[in-house]
Amino acid sequence: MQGVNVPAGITASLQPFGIYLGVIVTFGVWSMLYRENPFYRICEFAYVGSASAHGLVTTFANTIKPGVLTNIIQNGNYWEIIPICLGCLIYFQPFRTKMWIARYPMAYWVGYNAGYALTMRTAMPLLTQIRQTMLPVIVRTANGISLVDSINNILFSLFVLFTMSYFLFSMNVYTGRYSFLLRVARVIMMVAFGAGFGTGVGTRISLLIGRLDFLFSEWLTLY
Amino acid sequence: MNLASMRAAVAPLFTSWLKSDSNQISLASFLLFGFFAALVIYYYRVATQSSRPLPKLRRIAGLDAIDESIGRATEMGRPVVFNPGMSSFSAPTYGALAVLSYVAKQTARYDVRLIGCFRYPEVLAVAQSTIQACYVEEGKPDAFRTDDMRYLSGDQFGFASGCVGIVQRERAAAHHMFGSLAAEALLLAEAGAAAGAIQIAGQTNNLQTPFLVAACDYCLMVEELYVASAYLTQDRLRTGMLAAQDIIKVILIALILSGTLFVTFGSTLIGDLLILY
Repeated sequence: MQGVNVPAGITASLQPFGIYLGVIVTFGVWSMLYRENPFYRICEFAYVGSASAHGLVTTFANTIKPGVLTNIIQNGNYWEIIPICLGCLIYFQPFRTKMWIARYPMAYWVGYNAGYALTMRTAMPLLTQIRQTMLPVIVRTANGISLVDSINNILFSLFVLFTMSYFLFSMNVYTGRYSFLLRVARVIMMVAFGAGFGTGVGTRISLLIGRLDFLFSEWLTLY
Repeated sequence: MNLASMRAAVAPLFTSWLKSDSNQISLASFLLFGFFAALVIYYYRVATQSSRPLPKLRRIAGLDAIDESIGRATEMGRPVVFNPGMSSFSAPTYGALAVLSYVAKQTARYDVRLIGCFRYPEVLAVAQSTIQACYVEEGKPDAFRTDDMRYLSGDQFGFASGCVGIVQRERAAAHHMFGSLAAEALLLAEAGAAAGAIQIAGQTNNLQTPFLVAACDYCLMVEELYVASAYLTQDRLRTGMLAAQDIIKVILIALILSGTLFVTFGSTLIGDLLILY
């Protein structure tokens, strides 16, 4: 996408405006922590609107323009007119009596994606994961048996098997006296989710720090 | 028969078979997938014969709660907000659309307003057709409101902020989040919690599931999303497919167990059968 060349002087004079706008929008979004309010609503609508506009422009520049101008007109790939026509049928969607026409490209799209999901690309990660799960439960090293690695592998294998068997929906293996196994599998998953939650919160805190850094350094110029 | 002679006996199974752009698959793996396909076909035949019994599905609390949440929305006179995820057509989106069709039937039956939030226009179009068909099926075609099917933004956080605003402004009684969710999962769940909505989420992203488990009333974990359509509709064909998948999982568990034992005793035989080149 080609950018617009803005003179350096104008960019510099607009910089304070950009900072103040950033501060206002930051506080506007944070105001949601109290409750939904008009200030947040303005920021939300501005963001949703500008994001949609940006999406429209980038789709035109990166997909439609090279697709039509480069591929069809310049390179002479005229067969690409067929999928374009198929895609255009989607615009019948808003018309109640002609809506059925829009179902043809949709059916093609859904079918294509379902078929694509069944290719070898799906099988590959499955096979790789199964192979990587096969770990020795007794780990031998040059100095004998490594107890820590062995326990690690035993736990890993057990946790994988428990978790996999949790997702057996049509086999009533966890009934009666074995129902506790379902709880064990759930606890194992919750421990994993807890670790994931901690990592995720750390990432979110770093985003907050980034915003505070912007407020303190660029707006308040405290450092 | 020692391990080496065993390996020599099955040597042809290690040879490469199918080739793709960057990978080849061994004959053993090809046969394994062929067997899986045969299992699915067998259960398809079983499912089409109504006289033959199919296994009963295990209870899933999150799916039972869908009716409860719609009932709550009916009592409160407030809408149900449905979010089918952040991805275009993919396996989780298909799972979400299956749940959506059930939710749409229930909202049509009980005259509850259903609001859909969409990131991709193609998903919006399919969902709109699906919901409309459900309303027609329930004999209430005029109750379907096109304006409530809302395309928000193609941008991830633009979409998320739009969803947050809708859930809050419409004071949703129930907030359903199914499909593929990413970093915005917690934002959406927090917005629903703040609005006092009963929240049910189901998605396959392991990184986001912890947030949904923490912030939602019910959370379907990973594959439970794909079970939803069979569980909710009790459709024989879908239940049959599920039974076939469960047998496949048991075979994979057996493979992992035997592979682990072989590796422990110094042989990579089982792992090598599943090798990629």
